[in-house]
Amino acid sequence: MLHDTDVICAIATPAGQSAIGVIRLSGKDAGIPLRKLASFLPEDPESHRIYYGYLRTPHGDELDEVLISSFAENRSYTGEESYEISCHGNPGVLAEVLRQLIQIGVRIARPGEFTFRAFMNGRIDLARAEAVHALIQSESSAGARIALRQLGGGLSQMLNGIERDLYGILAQVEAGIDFSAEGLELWTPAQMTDKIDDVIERVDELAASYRTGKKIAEGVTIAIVGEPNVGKSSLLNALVEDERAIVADLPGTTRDVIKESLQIDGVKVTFLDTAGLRETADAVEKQGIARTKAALDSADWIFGVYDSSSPSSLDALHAFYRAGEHEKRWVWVENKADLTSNIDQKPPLFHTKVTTFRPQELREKLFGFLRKEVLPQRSGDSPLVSTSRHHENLVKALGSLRTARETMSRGLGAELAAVDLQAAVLLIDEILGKRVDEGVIDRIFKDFCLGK
Amino acid sequence: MNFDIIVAGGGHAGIEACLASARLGCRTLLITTNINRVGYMSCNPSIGGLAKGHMVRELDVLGGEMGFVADKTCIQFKRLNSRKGPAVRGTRMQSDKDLYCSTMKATVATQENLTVLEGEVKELLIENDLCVGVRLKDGSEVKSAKTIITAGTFLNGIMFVGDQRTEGGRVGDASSKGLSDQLKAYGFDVRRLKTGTPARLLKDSIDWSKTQEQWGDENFFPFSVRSQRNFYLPQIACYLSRTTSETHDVIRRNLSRSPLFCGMIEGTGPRYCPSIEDKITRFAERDSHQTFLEPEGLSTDLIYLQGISTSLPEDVQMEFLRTIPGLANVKVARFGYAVEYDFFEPTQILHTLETRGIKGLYLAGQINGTSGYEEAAAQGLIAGINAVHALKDRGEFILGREEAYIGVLIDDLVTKGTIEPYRMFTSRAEHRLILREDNTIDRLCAKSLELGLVPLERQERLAELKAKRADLRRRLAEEKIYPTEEVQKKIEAIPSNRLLKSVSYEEFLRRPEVNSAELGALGFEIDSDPMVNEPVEIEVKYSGYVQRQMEMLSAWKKSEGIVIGELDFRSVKGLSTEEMEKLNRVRPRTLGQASRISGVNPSAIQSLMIYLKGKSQRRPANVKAAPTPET
Repeated sequence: MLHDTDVICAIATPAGQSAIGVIRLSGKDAGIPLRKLASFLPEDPESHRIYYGYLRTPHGDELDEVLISSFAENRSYTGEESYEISCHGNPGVLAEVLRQLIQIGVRIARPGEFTFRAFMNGRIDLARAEAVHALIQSESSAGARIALRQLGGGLSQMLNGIERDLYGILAQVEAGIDFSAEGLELWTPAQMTDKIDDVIERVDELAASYRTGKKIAEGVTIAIVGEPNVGKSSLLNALVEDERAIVADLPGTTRDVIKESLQIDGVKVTFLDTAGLRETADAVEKQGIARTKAALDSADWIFGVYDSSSPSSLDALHAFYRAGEHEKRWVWVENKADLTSNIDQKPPLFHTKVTTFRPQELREKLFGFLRKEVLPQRSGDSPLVSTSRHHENLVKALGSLRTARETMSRGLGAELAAVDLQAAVLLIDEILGKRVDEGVIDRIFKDFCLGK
Repeated sequence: MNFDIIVAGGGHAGIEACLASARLGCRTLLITTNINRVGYMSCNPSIGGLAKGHMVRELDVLGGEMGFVADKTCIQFKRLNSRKGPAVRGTRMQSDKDLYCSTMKATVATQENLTVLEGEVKELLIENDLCVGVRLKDGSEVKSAKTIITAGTFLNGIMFVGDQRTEGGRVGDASSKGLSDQLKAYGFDVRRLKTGTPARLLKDSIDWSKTQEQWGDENFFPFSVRSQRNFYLPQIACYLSRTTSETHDVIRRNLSRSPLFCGMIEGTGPRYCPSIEDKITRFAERDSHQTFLEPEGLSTDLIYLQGISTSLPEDVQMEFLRTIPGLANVKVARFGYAVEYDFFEPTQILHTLETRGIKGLYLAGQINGTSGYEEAAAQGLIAGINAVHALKDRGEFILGREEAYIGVLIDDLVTKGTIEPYRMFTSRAEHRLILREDNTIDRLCAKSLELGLVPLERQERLAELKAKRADLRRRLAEEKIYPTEEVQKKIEAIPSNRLLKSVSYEEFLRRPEVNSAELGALGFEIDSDPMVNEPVEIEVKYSGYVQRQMEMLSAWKKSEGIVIGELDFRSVKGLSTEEMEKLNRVRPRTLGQASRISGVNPSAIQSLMIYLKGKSQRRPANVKAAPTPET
């Protein structure tokens, strides 16, 4: 790690749901990029002051209501101009803020980089820095093991394939430069751009898999809603085989949103068992309904449960169901219909008939459904990117490749396209944890018969 | 006899070393085994090429001789990659081989402060790890403060033609024995490399009608700022022919008789210049390889057969040559051969090219594992300059990787070492867009003036060119074009898009369809000297990409500025044993150099950085110097 001063960011609070989540930002003139999202932040913020406002994307879309603590150069942990953004503690919100920061050119910090900078700027002493460094090394070896495991499969194969093809392209470019007098049979410009397009497509696909990959890493959230007493809690209990949610005949028992998590095929699935949907004057229950609505907004999927013997329970769901927002993540669950019913789905709305009378059967049916429809699909030949650092590198590599392609197709010169192709290789190699010294030169000797 | 500096070897490295030393005012002795072969082109009769041409220009600006002599003896000129971007254009000149050699010999012979002695160095005189001179074959000793060895392929050289094995550095010259054995005994890591050369054919035995004539460029862009802008000599053509499937059959049938394939040669050959038997084996699917028939001079009958280097037995060479169109009745003046020789693993030398083990001893050229006249000359110059600087206590003369290809060359050698004959490629330079032939003066003028190796009037010429370019650059940035109707019409005529607002000339010149000649018509005063405006125009056009390359390299640049100094890497926490060994062997000067050593991981670089920072923190600010024994 070199002593850079560019602006870095990272989520500073532990992963998962919490009341607040903090994103740290540090670097020379860190306020400049931050103001692109936080227009309320003054140009010359006071140190050790808190600013309140809304983060918005450069297009004006609202991200979150936040507090920003400002630390001036030489008065911060790292010794650089720094900010701490306190967001709402929703992993989705934090990830989105991070994504927006990257989009405007802020880099994700490498492991231990904040401390490293603190040391380099004389804010902490050597003993502490060495301790942190040792920790980072052990962490990164653990991280490397994890990454290795992840890279062991399709992802590394795919990245290695991309790297190999990039070297192939670069070998063509470089051989055309360094051995142009040797009458080599090189690709035509059209073949060259085709090959770059092919790599672009694959990098793009990998970068796009980030959402799915993230789901695997961070899990899936399913909100269960329905009229009181249609059996939501029984459904949850059947799934988690636990008696945590209170099952009672009295409508409105479940006032708080109850969270239960379980692992299905290695993916964390979190169920949010919500309060009932009944409009009510009861203050406590009213609060519960507000929470229900929030849960519906944040969940990846919604199980709308109704009782086939009670038409009003279906009407109540319809009152909540908002076609535009919910249709792609809504599952109708018809409960207590009859004991022999099968799961059947009617696209575009999933419709599932279940019964809570036979918990074991219910479980199997639901799991089958989850595996088929809800869990991120992961097959051997479509690897996934799940860490933001990998995603960031892929997005940057994509940008470099597109520039290289543009340079090539405008006939601006192979040596110029090479600048961006090399940048792309470096970014891919960084994910693979490789440093290849003479990769291209070796490849030239392999691919071409030289020595005129 | 007693000299300031001894240079042993009169090849391309030795010449630059001894000339630099003598011209910087040191009494210099050049010892060569064959006085008539000073500056002899043992292989191809040409100077320059991609990345190599860059180095020749760099040499010239710093005060080297190679470029000027190549200009004067040029019989075919080519600007390679002329259709590609300016950063990767390279000058290549075919020279009249005899004239090149005799011109160099005359230059060396008439140089003030320089004595030339025909003889062979048998042994170095070493006292307490310090080289104090040499002992010659006849037993006589010559003392010196610094010694530069530029022995080329002569150290324990063995030549191969089929199963014939002859000792020698090249045809007609004996090999040097003793020197590398002495250094090996001293603990130096000595290894073997191999190179090869093709047959030389007799001009009149070739049916030229079966070949394709190839001419060079009409416009001459000399290497040297000293040279005139017109050709010194008449220009000649080269001739293209190709191997046939019969050629390949003959070779394939006789592979077992090649010393390369029957295990007689252990040294590694260059992958970019394989023998014809290698090409046919490794690229079996190709049924033809091109070859250039290059005259070796204006007044010689010898034709060099580019691309067909071989060490097959003479009868096989004869048989396959005759299957090449135009060569059915060919007569061979000299058959091709391979030569295997000793080289010193180059991580044993410093950036000054002084050895780590023996002070006052410098190694330059092919004995450091390189190939090529230009690579050798570049090292010769750097070794010569540093020997003088060490003698006169002027500090080290080192070029950075971002300053010159010569810097890349030497840093690669002393940092990474090499396992095959090292040749320069443009792709080895991470700053390729900045290291161009056209801006050599801008890059190296200041260093050259400080060095003082070029004579005064040439220094003035360099400084003048640099100043004119800077002035043009400034005016382009400052002066503006205003979108008057008259101007807009002229712009449309180029043709280019009308201006939306006034812009600087620089910004306007950045348009791909606009070149500097058109600025004149728009009222901008452009310099008529292409030596001034060409590099400036290139710089303007390239600036976006140059900036991106610099951004990519910004971390690189920082680490290059962190000096490591004397350090036992075993005291750094967090390094693996392998990393410690490698770092202790190479002893990098900067953190950047450390990061280029293969096998040293990024985490090791971070450990080093923390260590270095900690060291400076640990040192208390006001400490009284400990009393020394004298006081």
